[in-house]
Amino acid sequence: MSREARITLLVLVAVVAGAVVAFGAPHVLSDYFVRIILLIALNAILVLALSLSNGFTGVFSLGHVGFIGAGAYISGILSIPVQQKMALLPHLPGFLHAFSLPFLPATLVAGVLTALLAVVVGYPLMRLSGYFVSVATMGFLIIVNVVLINASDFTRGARTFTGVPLETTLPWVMGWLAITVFVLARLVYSPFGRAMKAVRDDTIAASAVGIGVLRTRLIAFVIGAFFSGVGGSLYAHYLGSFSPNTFYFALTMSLITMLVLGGMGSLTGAVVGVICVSLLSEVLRSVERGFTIGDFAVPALFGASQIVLGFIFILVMIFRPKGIMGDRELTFGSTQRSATVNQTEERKR
Amino acid sequence: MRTVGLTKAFRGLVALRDHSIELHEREIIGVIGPNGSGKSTLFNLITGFSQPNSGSIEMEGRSIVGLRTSQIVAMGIARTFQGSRLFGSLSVAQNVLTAAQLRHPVGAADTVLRGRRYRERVAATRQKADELLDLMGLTDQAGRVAADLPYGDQRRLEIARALATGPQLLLLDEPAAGLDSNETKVLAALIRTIRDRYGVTVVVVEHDMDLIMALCERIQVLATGEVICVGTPEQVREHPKVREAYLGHA
Repeated sequence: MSREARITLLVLVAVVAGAVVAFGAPHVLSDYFVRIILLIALNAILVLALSLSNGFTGVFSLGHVGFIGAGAYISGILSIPVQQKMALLPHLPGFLHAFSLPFLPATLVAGVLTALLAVVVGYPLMRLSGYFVSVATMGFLIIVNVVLINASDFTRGARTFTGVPLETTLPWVMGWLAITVFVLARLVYSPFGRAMKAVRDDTIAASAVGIGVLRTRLIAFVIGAFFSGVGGSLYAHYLGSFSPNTFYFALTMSLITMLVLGGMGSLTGAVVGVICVSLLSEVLRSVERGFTIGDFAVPALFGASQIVLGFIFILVMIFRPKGIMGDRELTFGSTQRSATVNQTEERKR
Repeated sequence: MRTVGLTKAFRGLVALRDHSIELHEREIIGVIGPNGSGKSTLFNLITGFSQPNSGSIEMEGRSIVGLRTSQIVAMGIARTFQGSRLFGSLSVAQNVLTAAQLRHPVGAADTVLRGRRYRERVAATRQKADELLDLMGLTDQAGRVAADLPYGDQRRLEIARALATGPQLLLLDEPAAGLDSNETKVLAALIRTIRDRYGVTVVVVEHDMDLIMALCERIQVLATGEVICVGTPEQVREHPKVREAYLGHA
């Protein structure tokens, strides 16, 4: 079988499996497991959105959670039912009071507005490289947090933002995940994706072959922001109520950990990272409540799961510094060994 | 292409003073001079990596001063770098493809939808890259990671990549550095082949006198940022100022 045929087959299998999980799981599994699958899929969207700039373009953003927060609040404001808006957000400008959008259009608007925000933010910031862009994007995250807390007419300030209809179901999230993977895979494995990786490897050489460095970075940043905004909307409609600190450093750290652990230059790596971290922390969380094996009782050790998780991260970084997948894609048999993986192995020898 | 009165100073240090040169079509011209004489500064100015304090650079009668590097490359000026600046994590073929796609651009919507136009342009890009890999003798290495290549192959890959942008003017910054005398001979023949096949004008900055003398039809000599002479290899070899610049005062 040719490489293309194998990949096509793989994509078909993945889509069918995804659809079976999306529509079948709620009938078979308990709510607890459905919720875990939903959160994995949702986080996968967020981490994939992050991988576009952080992994493929070499712009290590610490500010994407600002886009997720923006998407969540925008979508929330748009979709709270009209009657409740009066009570919850009495000081909203009149035109926002007058209507409320269904889930899908609210999510699309959130994605588009977040992308526009990324154009404004990215235009000055994408000139920076290395640590500087990380710190600057973190500054953006802090600004978003402060704005969310202080724009209380729109966001209820530091109080819980509530009343968002709970519409994020597993099929919705799996559908958006499929779209995210599809669009990102086509972008990353295309001439544009090559330009992104060229910019990551060497900005000077990239401009010397005619690549607009700023333009390439900005496009990657803005597309990532679009999917972050979409993910934020899904998050908002999953939680129903949240506050500005829901979208702050804790979420940033957890998404970046998943990305780095899974492998920064690989789409499947990002998903693998999300699955590993999510499942591991669920398993450890149930273990830390204490358990008994025969006569041997392990007492509850609350907090131990975090320690074990941290320890595992350290081990992965020591033994697989490029993450679990490095920048290879998981393609079951037609796995392409690429680039930096070989390179690091070469250096080890 | 020509430069007139080109001057560049870094703070007080004048790296290039009142530089002028006019390039003829399809010629191979050498720019030589001791370290610090302004050769690389000249390349950086022409390709827009730094801006001159004064003077003009014209390409086919149009000034290119102030344009971004990517715009200058699109106008048909390509360069290689001293040492090597490959995309280390990409394969040999991808390095060349990344440059070749400049002449076969695809938009964002095409990239996601992948219609006929996308497939045609990607195929055209690949054809160009394959042709250059073949010319440079890198076809067997196409799948290897660029950073893993032997040094001599890396130098040829860098030339292939520059050529893939479809230039009219090719600037080679010390292409023979680190090559042995046999590899240097092969390189000289290759540069001539490139000129003949693609009709490009080639400017070579080099320390290696053997390469320069064997390859170039004209040579310009720089010392401490100033042009001290221009001429054929024979004229330059006999020029007293050149001997002075290289050997010091007698």
